[in-house]
Amino acid sequence: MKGSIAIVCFVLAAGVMGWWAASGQHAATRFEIPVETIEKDDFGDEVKTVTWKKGFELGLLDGAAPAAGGLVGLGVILLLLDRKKRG
Amino acid sequence: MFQFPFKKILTATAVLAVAVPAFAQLAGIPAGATKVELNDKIRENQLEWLSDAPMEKIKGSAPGVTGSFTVDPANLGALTGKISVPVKSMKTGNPLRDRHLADKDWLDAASYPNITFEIKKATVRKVDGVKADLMAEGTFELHGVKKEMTIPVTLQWKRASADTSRVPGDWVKISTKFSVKLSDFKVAGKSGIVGKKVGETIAVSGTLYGHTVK
Repeated sequence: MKGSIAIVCFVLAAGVMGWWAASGQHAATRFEIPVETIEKDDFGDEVKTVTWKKGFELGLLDGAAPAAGGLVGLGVILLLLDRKKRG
Repeated sequence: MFQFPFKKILTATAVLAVAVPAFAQLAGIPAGATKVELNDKIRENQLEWLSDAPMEKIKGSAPGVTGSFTVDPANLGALTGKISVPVKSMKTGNPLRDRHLADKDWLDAASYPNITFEIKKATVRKVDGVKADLMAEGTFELHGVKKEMTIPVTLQWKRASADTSRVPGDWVKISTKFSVKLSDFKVAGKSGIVGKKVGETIAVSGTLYGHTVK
């Protein structure tokens, strides 16, 4: 049982890192995402406007690394306990 | 034997270089010092900035830009004014990081609430109809440190018309793109962060909109 939970922990840790990689690989988590739009202004020129929309992009230092590290640590402990139990 | 006309070309270039300031006026815009105030009703006045460091690229914006300037369409070199950006308006998408940005270690918003650029004069680089490329010279103040800077700006004029009825007066647009070196303004941040997670130089760009006031 402990061994199975350990494997789940490793898979979850890999998932967390994958999530981080897929969401822009930011060092810090973003709770608002900049949306850049290019539109014509009243002068007839194309200008870039930045607006912020609510969102979530997992950061490495304040999210992915501690979570993945914790899961890997838990997995290792469970694996060791499992082996110990089996003798 | 054909001789390349170096002398003629040099003379013509010199004449043109002297002549540009003489024609440095916006076409069809009445002469005279005119006050322009930034106005968000034309379009939101905001600057974008980018910190590109090896460990992190931080894109941010700074809305709430205010200010005014005086411009004479017939004497663009006499441009003066002041643009101000509240430090607390700066956004990075992470509230904790926004708070750190305003902290004492970084921009210290409590002591220096605004980033300002006070324009003292301008050098005209190019005039094309109602559009002019200028080099605005003045004092940039960030983190309580003042530094003389020359910033490229493009100024564009739009005469009052039915299109501009939502805000009275002529409309004036200023676009700019420049960079700011943090160490020039004694922004050190927490030890070891500048150069790794925060760029040593911050790229700033944006377009500001204002209208003429009497």
